[in-house]
Amino acid sequence: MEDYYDIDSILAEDQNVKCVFQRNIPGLSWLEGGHDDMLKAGSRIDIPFWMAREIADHPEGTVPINIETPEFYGNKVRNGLRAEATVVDLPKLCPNFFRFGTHYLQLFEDENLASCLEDAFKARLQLTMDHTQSGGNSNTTEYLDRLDETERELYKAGLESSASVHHWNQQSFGRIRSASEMLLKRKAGV
Amino acid sequence: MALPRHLKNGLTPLEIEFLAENEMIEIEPFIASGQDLELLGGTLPPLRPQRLIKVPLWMAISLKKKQKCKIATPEWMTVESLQRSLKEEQDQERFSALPYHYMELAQLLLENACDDISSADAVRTLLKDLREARQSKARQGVAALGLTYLQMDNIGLMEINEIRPFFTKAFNEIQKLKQGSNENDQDGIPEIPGGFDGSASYASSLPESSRFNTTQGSRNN
Repeated sequence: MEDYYDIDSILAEDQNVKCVFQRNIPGLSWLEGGHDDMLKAGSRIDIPFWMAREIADHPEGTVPINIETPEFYGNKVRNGLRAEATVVDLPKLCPNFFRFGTHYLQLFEDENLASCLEDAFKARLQLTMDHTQSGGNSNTTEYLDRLDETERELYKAGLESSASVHHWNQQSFGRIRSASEMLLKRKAGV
Repeated sequence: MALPRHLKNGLTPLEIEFLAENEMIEIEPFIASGQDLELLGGTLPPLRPQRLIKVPLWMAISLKKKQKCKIATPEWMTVESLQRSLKEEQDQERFSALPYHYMELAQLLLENACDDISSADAVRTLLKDLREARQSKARQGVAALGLTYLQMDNIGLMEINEIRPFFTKAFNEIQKLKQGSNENDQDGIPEIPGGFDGSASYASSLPESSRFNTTQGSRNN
């Protein structure tokens, strides 16, 4: 489904999550910054999501760690997104809010979060599209600051295409004109 | 393929304009060609002065530039017809029926044969209003982006090309969000109870060190 080489996807997996280890694990204490060999059961540490997933995705289906729900998918944020999705400042919570969400949801079954993310994404989409068509007015910057990486990509794509149609409409697109230097020379009568 | 992004997204407006130049349009030639016109796309009957004939738009424009014909305004591009379309556009939810290449045709005709179009300024204003009304409809389509597809009848090529990069990307992202929530049922990923509450344990017959090494190894590969 997802492109293996998709750099955004790889970056999104780098998001730290809080994990509680259920067992003593030898050789991993460096995760905690300790110098002993053994990582003690019950340690609560931040590790990147890709690592947490590999540890959790155990061959026998048994799970040595507990991955806590990240704060930015907590109830407070969910309620905020439900109330008014367009004003939530996503990059502040997690720069790859939606992309990380897809990874997260692959590991956890959470219908509530899935529907919440989808609805929020759709609600924000409409406003993002409006902004692409207004062609970069000054009041868009504030809104752009609240977009996560995925949405920013979308905004760029939309802006590019609407700008190219706009240029074409203005007939300033791809027409052959004399260079400005030539016009200057002509004016000067050279 | 390694294409710059603005080419990867689909057609550029100029390419669309090029495609539109193949549309047939009625002209009134001032010259006689004397013989059939053999074009790649087919043979046209000879041009005769004062006799209306359908030719491709590119040919019409070329003749017009040499002052050798008069281009007849297409039916849909008259002020009355555009006013009707605009009213339809504002009253109805769907797009009004305009030619597939309406933006390109209008642009090319207004640019090259402005003098053949009656009340060209009014036509220009009406076209702009139409475009704005249609744009806001396309925007409403975002809200309707669902699981499978989005239907927009009567939308022009230029319009569809404008919203294509945005819509396809958005659609893919929505798909991904949905996939994420459904994947657990279909895929090989072992089902893990939500939140790992308590139920997660480490029941195993293997010594723990070797067990952990296997997972570590797979990450490093």
